[in-house]
Amino acid sequence: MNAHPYKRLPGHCWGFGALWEGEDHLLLVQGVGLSENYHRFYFRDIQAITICTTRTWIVLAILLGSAAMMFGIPALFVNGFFRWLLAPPAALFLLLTVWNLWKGPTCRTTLQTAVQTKRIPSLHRTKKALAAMARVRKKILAAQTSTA
Amino acid sequence: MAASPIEAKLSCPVCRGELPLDLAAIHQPFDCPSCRRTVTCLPFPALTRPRAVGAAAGPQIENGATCFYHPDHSAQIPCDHCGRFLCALCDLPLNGRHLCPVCLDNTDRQLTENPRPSHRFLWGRAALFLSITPAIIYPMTLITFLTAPLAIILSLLWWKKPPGLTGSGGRLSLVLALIFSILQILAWITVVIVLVGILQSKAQFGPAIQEVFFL
Ligand SMILES: [Zn+2]
Ligand SMILES: [Zn+2]
Ligand SMILES: [Zn+2]
Repeated sequence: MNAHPYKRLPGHCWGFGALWEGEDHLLLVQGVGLSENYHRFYFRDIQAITICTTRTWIVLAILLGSAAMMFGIPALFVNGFFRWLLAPPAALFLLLTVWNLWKGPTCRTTLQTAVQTKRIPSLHRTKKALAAMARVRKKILAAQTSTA
Repeated sequence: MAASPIEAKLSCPVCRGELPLDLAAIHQPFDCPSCRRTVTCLPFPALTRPRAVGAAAGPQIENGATCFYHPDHSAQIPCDHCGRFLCALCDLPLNGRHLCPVCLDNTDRQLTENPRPSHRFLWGRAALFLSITPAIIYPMTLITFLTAPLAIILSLLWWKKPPGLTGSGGRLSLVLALIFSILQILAWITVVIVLVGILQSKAQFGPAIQEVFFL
């Protein structure tokens, strides 16, 4: 059943554009639902992987944190039914806030070859992007030094 | 490395501004000159490598990459199917897509088993979708006595269809579709048995009902 030659690289995006490591290329799998599109980047062609830190995670932290407080603070001052009404969304937003901070800084990652520069949607957290980079670095270098 | 004879270029993933090659080469995070965001770049030899070894210098080499089929021609575009670099000669447009001669030949012959497809329909996921969706969306639940057997037939018909390249929508999805559909059919059988039981017990008290249902 596990007959395919691909290994999953760190980072995911709910099915949108995950990166997989193959024998001689990286495979970008895009599409949720009933079909998938594939994009190949051969190791010998990859010129650079670039990660740029974005501020999305800070915006997210502020939005999620204030949503948690909006539900949480009133919940402390009311009793009975209303407390039970406000507590679950407060807990949910608090959980999401912690999850966002734990995932760390966000980023945008591109993979460049001589003829195209493609964004990798799954590598949108710096931690995961650096981990993925470290995983493929040796293979790409090996492919390019053996042909040079 | 920066003083390379060919025009190597790096761009910022966010603002698309050009990044300095000498900063990228030191493998340390630096600030993008255009947007000031922190950039980490991992350049590879292909970025600055002048040419493929053994190839004569062509007149129109710009980026150093060469055609997969013609090592002495510069690459213009990747094949939309297999991803190999193509020169202007090998770039064969077809319905808005760019294909290499080999991939165009394969589409001509309608080969079912392309080892490097650019797109795949996930049969297993389709069967699973047909099995689950009607069951969980209320008014459609009433027609699951039709969709569940259909999902079983399709799961068996599609058993040999290839899964996605990374395994999604494969046998596991088909097995889940089968299990879920069989459960739905069992639920329908239970409903029918219970209904028949109720009718029979009513029939004991009202022979008239029995006459209507068991002519
Ligand atoms: Zn920038
Ligand atoms: Zn091709
Ligand atoms: Zn060519």
